[in-house]
Amino acid sequence: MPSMRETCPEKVEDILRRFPQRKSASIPLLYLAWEVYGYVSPEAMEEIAEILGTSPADVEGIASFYTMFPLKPLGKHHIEVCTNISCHLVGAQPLMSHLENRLGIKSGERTEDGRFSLQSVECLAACAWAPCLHVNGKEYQKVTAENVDELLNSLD
Amino acid sequence: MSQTDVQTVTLTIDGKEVTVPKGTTLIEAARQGGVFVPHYCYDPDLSIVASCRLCLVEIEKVPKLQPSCSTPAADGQVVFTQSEKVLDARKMQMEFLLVQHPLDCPVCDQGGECKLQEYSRNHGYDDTRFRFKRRTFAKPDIGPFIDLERNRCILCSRCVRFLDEKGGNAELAVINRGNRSFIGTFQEKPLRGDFTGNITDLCPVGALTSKVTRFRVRVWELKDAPSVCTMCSVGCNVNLQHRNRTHEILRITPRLNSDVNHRWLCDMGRFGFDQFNSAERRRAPEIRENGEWRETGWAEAIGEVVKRLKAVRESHGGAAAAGLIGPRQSNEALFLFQQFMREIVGTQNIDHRTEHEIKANDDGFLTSLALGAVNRPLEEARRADVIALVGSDLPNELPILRLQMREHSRAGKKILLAYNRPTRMDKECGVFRYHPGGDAAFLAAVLHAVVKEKGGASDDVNALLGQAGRDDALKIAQIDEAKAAGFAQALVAAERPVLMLGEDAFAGPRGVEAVRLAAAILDTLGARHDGALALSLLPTPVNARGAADVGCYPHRGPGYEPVGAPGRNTTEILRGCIDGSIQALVLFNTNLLEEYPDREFAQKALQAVPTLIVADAFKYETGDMAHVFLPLSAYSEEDGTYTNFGGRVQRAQRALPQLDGTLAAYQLLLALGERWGAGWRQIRTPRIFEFIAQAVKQYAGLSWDTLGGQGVTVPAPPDEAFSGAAPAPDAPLASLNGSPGGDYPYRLVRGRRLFDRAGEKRFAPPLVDRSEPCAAEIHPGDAKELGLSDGDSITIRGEKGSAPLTVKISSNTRPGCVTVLGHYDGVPLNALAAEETPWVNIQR
Ligand code: SF4
Ligand code: SF4
Ligand code: FES
Ligand code: FES
Repeated sequence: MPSMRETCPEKVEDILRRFPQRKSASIPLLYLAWEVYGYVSPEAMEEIAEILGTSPADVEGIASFYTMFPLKPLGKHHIEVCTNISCHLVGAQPLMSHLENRLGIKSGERTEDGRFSLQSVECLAACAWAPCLHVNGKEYQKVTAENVDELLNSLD
Repeated sequence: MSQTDVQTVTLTIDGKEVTVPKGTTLIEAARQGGVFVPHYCYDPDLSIVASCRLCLVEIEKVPKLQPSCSTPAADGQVVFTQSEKVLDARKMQMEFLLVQHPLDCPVCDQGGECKLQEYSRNHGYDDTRFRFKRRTFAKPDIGPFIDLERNRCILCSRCVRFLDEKGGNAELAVINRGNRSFIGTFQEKPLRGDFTGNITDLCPVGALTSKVTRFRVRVWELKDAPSVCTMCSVGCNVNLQHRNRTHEILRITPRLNSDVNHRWLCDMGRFGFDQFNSAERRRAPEIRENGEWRETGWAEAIGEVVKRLKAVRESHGGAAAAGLIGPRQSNEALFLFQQFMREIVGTQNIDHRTEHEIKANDDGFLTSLALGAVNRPLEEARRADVIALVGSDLPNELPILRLQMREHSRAGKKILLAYNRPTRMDKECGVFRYHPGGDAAFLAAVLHAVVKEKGGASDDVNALLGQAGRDDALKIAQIDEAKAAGFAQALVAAERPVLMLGEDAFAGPRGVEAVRLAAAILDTLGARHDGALALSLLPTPVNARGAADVGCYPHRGPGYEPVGAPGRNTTEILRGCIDGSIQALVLFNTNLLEEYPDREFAQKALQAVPTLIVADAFKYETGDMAHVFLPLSAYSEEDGTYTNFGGRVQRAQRALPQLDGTLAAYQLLLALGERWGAGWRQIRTPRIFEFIAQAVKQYAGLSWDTLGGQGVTVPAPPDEAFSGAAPAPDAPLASLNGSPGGDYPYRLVRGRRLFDRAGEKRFAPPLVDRSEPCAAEIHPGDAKELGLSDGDSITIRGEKGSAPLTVKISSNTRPGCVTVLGHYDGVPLNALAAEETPWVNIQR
C-alpha cells in the first residue's frame, strides 16, 4: 500500500508545519492514517514514527492510549455504542448484548463479511437522548434493544 | 548574598539540617542527609515522571503531600519523611500497587531482590484486601535475553525511559490506557537493542528479568566476584555472580564505575557467560601421536612440551622457536608468556597481533604512541566538544563507548562519524561515508582540507601531503571535496576536538599511514593537551593494550623497551614455519586459522611446523592441528589484571575454582618454567603483578592492592622508548587501494557484528540465539545485474578459495562490493583472498 507521504504529501507537510515540536504531530498524523487506510495499521504507525523521528512503539503507545483510533480494520458500518453511565442507566447493556448476539461478534470485533464492527465507547455527549450510538460517526438517539433491528435493517 | 549562598539551599529533613546545591530534588537531598525515601519510578540516571507516588513526603505549610523525586529542595523547607501522614499514604500506595499483583514470588526470579517485597514488608500491609478477579495480560516473547511478565509490572516506566533516553531507540512503550495499560514492544516484536539487559537491573519488580538466568538459581544462592568484562576493550566493571555448588557463572551484573561503564553493560558482555559453563571446554591435556589424540595428565603434557622445546633449542637454537598469544589473556599471562619465550626458550619471536598481516613491526598502534597520542578514549570524549570517529563501526565494536557517545550527543557535543557503511549510531552523528578500504585516503583528504582552512602547516605535514595527493585521496575514498571540507571545518571550529580511529583505520594494511595522517590533522589543529596529541585508537580485543604494555612484540619488551636484535612478527613466524626456520610454535589463546587474514598461509605454516603447542579453553580447528593441546581455565577462574583501551589497569577477581583438569595460563607458564629447571615456581597473581610493575615503567608503583576495585590509569610510555624508532616506510597513497580485476570484479568487505559466532561467542547459546544469520550483502543494482534476489544461495570465490553464502540485498553495501558482517564458524572468509587484494566473484 502506498504511504501517506506518497498519497497525500501536502497533508503530511501541512500537519508538520503546524507543530514546531514534531512529536506533537502524532495525533493529527494518526487521524490522517485512519483516513487514508481506513484504520491505524501497523505500517502506518511505522511510517508516522519515521516521519517524526520517534519509534514505532512510541506511536503505538499513543494510538492505543486513545480509544478512538481503530487499530484493526473496521466494518463497512462501524457501530459505537455508548456504555457510559447515562446510557447504562436506561439500557445500554441490553442494547449491547442484543447487537453482539445479532452480529455474532463482541465489542472490538468485526463480522466475517466485513459489514459490521462493534465498539463500546464512553460518553458520546448525548446523555439527554440516551441510550445512544454512532454508525460511522452519525449519531442515533434513544436506540434500544427493541428498536435497533430497524436501524440495522436500514443499513445496506 | 554571596555567590555560594545562591548556589545552595539549606533545609531540614526529619529534624536534620541538610545543605545541598540548588535544584537538588528532595529525594536526593534526603539521601545526602542519610534518609532513604522509598521510590519506584525515580532513578537518578533517568528523567523524572513522578508517577508511582511512593516517594510522597510532608512539607511544612504545604497542604498536600509532595513527591520528593520531583520537588526541588528549597531554603528553609521543613520536610518529614516519616510522619504519620506520610506513612499512611505510603501504605495506601503500596496497597494500590499490589491490587493487581499476582504475588507469585515463589516462581519469580526477582524474589529476594524485589523492591515490591522489600517495601511491602517495610511500608505496606502483609495481606491484600482486594477480593476480585485480577487483571491478567498475555505473555509475549520479546527475544532471547529478556523475560517480560506483565502481570507483575507496576508501570513505573523506568524501562521505557531507559530505552528512550539512554540505551535504545524507544523500543518499549506503555500500550493502552488506565487499568488496561501494559508495557510492550511495537506489535510484540522481539527487543533488538544492544543494551536491553540494563532494564532488568532497572525494573524494581519481577516484570523484567534475565531469560538467560531464569529459573536456574535463586538470587540468594549467588555470590559476587568483582571483575571486568572481557568481551571488548572498554573493560566494563562487572560482578560475576556465581554458584560454587554447581560451578557455574549464572549472571553478570554491572559494578558501578563512573570512569568506565557507570552502571550499564552491553548485552554481549552481560549475556555471554555461558561460555564459561560450556560442556565444550576441555578438561584434560591431550597429546597427538601418529594422528591419534590421547588424553593425558598435566605432568606428562608439561614434560612433553618442555622436552620438545628443549630439543628445538638444542638442535636449532632458541630462535627456531616462536610464540603467539591472543590479546585476550590477563597481563600476568601475557607478561609471563613473553618472559618464558625470551628468558627461557631464548627467542624474540613473539607477537600478539594475530588478526592482520604484519607489514611493519611498529604498527599503527605503536606509531600512535611514538607520535604522542593520548589514547584515552573515554576521558577524551568526556572533555571534548567535537568527537571525530574514523574507521569504526562503534556499535558493533565497543558498545559502551557507543552508549556514551549517545549521551555526549544528547549533551550537545558534536560527533562526526566517518565509516564505509551505515552504522546504528548514524542518527546521533554527522555522517561521512567513504569507500571500503579508504580510511587512510579519507584522512588524507581531511588533512588537505584542514591545512587549507588553517592556511598552512608544518614541514612534516607538508611532506606527508606531498605523498598523499588530494585528488588521489578523494578518488580512493570516493568522497567529494565539500564533504571532506565539512569534516575539516567542524574540527577547525572545535574548541577541543578529539580524533578516534577504529581498527579498520589503524590496524589494517594502511594503519601506519592512517595514524600518521590523523596525527598530522591534530598537529595542524594544535590539538595537544599537556603535550599529548588528542588522538585515541580503539582496539577491540579485551587486553590489546595490556599485551602491548607488557611486551608481547618481537622488537619491544615490557614497557615498549626496544630489544637488541628484533625477533620475527606473526607474519614472519608463519613464513618461518613454512620454510623450516621455525621448528616449534607455541600458541596461547589464539585460533589462528580463523583469525589470521590468510587462512591458506596459516594452514600451511601450522601443518609444516614440526612442533605445534596449543593452549586454549576450547579446542578450535587450530587446536586440532596441534601436537600437544593444553586446556586453559576460564578468566572467571583465575585472578588477573587487564588494561583497557584507555590504559586503565583493572582487577578481575576469580569467581570459581578452576575447572578440574584445567590450568590458568599463568600457572601453566610457571609450571613450564619450573619443569624446564629455570628456577620458576608457582606464585599468585599479585606477586606476578609486582614483577610487571618492576618491568613496565608506566606500571611502576602499582600493586594488586593499589589497583583497588576501580583500577588505575597508567601514563603513556615515555618518548625515549621510541626514540630512534625507524619511521615506517611511506606508502604512496595511490597504492592504498588496488582495484578489482577481470575474474574477480567485486570487493569483499568484512564488517563487524556484535552478535555473531566469533570465537567463544559460539559457546554461549543466548548469544547464538540472538545472532543474525550470516549473509552476503549486495547492492540492489548489482543484484539486479546478477539476477539475484534475497535469500538466494551463492558462492563467493576469490583467488584462493570460496565460501557458500546467502544473499541479502541492501543499499548499505556500495556497488561493486560484497559485505559480510561478523565472523561465523563454517564461513572461512579468510580463505578467499589475501588481505590486501580482497577481490572476489559471485556465482550462483
Ligand atoms: S516492566 Fe518493570 S521497569 Fe518497566 S514499567 Fe514495569 S515495573 Fe517498571
Ligand atoms: S561494552 Fe565491552 S566491556 Fe562493556 S559489557 Fe560490552 S563487551 Fe563487555
Ligand atoms: S453516557 Fe451515553 S451519551 Fe453520555
Ligand atoms: S519515585 Fe517519586 S513518584 Fe515515583
